[in-house]
Amino acid sequence: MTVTSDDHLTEDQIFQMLLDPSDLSDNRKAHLTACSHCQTALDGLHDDLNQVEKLALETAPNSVGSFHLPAQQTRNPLSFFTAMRPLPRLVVSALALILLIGAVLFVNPGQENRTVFEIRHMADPDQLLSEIDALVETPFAPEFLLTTSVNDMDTDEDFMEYIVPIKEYIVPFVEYIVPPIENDPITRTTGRKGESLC
Amino acid sequence: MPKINTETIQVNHSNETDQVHTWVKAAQSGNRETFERLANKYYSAIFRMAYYRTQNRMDAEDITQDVFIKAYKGLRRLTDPDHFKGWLFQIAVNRVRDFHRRKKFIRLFKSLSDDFDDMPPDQIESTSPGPYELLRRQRFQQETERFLARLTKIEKNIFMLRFFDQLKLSEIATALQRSESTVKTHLYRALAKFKHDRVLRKFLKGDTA
Repeated sequence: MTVTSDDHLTEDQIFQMLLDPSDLSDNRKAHLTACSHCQTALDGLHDDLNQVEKLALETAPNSVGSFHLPAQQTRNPLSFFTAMRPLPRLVVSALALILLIGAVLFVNPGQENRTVFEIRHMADPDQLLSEIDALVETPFAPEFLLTTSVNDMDTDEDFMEYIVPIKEYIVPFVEYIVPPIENDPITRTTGRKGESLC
Repeated sequence: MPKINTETIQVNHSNETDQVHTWVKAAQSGNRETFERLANKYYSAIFRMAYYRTQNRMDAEDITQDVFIKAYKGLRRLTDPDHFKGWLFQIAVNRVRDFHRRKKFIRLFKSLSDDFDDMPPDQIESTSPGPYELLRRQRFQQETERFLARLTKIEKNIFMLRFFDQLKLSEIATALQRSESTVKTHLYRALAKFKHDRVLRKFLKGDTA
């Protein structure tokens, strides 16, 4: 076989031959067997890399240790959690935290806040109606009634009429005290501008 | 190229692969003893891998133990038992990376006076080599360090996995979670730099002479 310098293996082809000869075509392999130039380049590189492998092995100390699994322990109920990958573990932790906060806020009645407590009681219709009835009967807060003694007062109908007089009783009484003025420009209804006198 | 009896090597390799496959299957079904056997088969390879990257025997031992504990815990996630070695190196690569990150972080808060990490790399050798041998190894470390510093991170990783840890391309691909063609591309680039590093190659040639 005649070999010309143009036919020589490229650098990559030499590396291919070193690392994975199956990658190289038969034609190139045939060239390699015939070409001393390419063979020398390949052998030189091969020897140097072998030398790297050999010296690396010699440089590393021999390991004196061996591997033994730690003694088997009773199964930890949380082992599924520790065996998880970091991202799912983070998601599970976040969900657990949310559930915990939810439990503290809504499940524990001793700790629930006043608004939540009131809303929960308002949801009971019987309770709500009885509270409304109580409000109708006594519109004042018990503390107010106690302080002002309003509770002891007689608040029957006569008393209320005295406080808020009925119109039928009060009008003659007012007319007696202040008689109506005839032709008073303020009170008269006749002769106003724009009204017909006919 | 040196002539090698490839047939014998292939048969041995096939037997070994079958054995590892059987052991991995047994270990996956909960056989602790088989896992320990499997771990001890690769123990020194993982230890060396960790040592090359930490230059410290104790750190390398710690990392190795950690790698096998992690491997045992995650063994059920390994879908193809034939990829066990590559998968083991994948754990080791990640563990070494964590180690360097932690070391870097600790250094930020450490005073120089108690910085034991700045101590020179281990010079311990059980076979107690002579001064010439020691010098040769030191020189090798220096030259490879200088050469590896010229490579990119991925080229360095792949070059070391191939020539220091002696992994196959498919195993490197598994270890680094890259395709085999990507591994080849980076390895070719690293080899091109190696080919033109006259100082290192001269040292290696002088060493063989």
